[in-house]
Amino acid sequence: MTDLTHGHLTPEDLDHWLEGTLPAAQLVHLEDCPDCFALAHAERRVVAWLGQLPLLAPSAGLSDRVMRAVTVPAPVARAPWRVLAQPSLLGPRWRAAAAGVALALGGSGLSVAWSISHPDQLASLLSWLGNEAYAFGWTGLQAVVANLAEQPWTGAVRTLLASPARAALSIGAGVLLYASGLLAMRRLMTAPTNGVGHVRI
Amino acid sequence: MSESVPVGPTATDQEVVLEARRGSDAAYRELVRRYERPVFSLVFRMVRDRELAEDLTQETFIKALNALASYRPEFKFSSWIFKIANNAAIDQLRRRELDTLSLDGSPSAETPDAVEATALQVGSKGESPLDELEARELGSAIEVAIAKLRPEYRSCILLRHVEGLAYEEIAENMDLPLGTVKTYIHRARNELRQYLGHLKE
Repeated sequence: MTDLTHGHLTPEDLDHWLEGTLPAAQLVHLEDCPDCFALAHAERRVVAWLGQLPLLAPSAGLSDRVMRAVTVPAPVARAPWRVLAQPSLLGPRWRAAAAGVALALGGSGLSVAWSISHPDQLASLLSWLGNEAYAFGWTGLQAVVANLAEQPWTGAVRTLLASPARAALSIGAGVLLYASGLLAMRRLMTAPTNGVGHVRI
Repeated sequence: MSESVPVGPTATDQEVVLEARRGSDAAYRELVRRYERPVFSLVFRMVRDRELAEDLTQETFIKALNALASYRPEFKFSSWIFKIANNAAIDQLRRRELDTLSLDGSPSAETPDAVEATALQVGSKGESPLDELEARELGSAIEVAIAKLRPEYRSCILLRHVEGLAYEEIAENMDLPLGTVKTYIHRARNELRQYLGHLKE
């Protein structure tokens, strides 16, 4: 606010001028009035000198002297996320592992959330996936059968299975052979019970 | 896990205070490190006695750090600790009755007559301002000029133009109305202009 009695700048105007916020009308006065101009520049000089005063340092060891008289509270348990943020746990391996876990958990969470909020689309998607899986499985089975039919030993197997009697005979012979093999293996694998000298320690 | 994380220089005051409240010894020391020079500078320029300023600075930190639980983070930590330091310095000056000269008279003077009646003249110690200033460097001259201000003016001008606090923060700091703070600062600048009028830029 300008001093209306003499038209000169008030202390508040000078503050505004020092802060660079003096309105244009007062700025015009400042340029035209030698008294205000001199006063304003003298104020600015004082403020600049004050701003250049150096910071003074107390004698060394203030921190130690202060800490001897300060009661530091007992350390409190830290929140898990603060513990994880410790510098020792911020190495590249930890960060990669944490990112992987966070990605997996985040992805799972998003997936569950999406499923809950879109049940119809989920049902449609599952149905499509089921059809695709069935088609894939059936095509694969057909391919395997076709491949087996092209093998050179397929003719011999077909001959063995040409009539029910031959098939029963072949299967019976096979089962018998398999059971004999199992018995032989069992006998070979059984631990000895006597007649074997053991080392005494 | 009760280990405290070291507080770095990039942490804000509020973050350091939070760590200190959690029981981090390093956080306490960081607060002392950050503010020992500003606080000591303010106190020394108030009391003009190095030994006394050391004691008051130490007392300020002990008081502040032991009362850290009562600090409200929505306020600037700097304002809070400057308030404690300033109060300590003012109390000391009152106790020792180390009053100073003022060109503008009592700060409580309301009328021009009252200001005139309570005004004191510079140089009452038998040394002209010119002789005094010529014998010192610019910085010393400014320090001497500040020392001549009455304590209330000195606090305000130091907090405003050396420590960089806003008018509102100073008013809060010194428990004074905003208008009074502005008046003190204008009068202090007026006095400094007169004390330092002989200095060249």
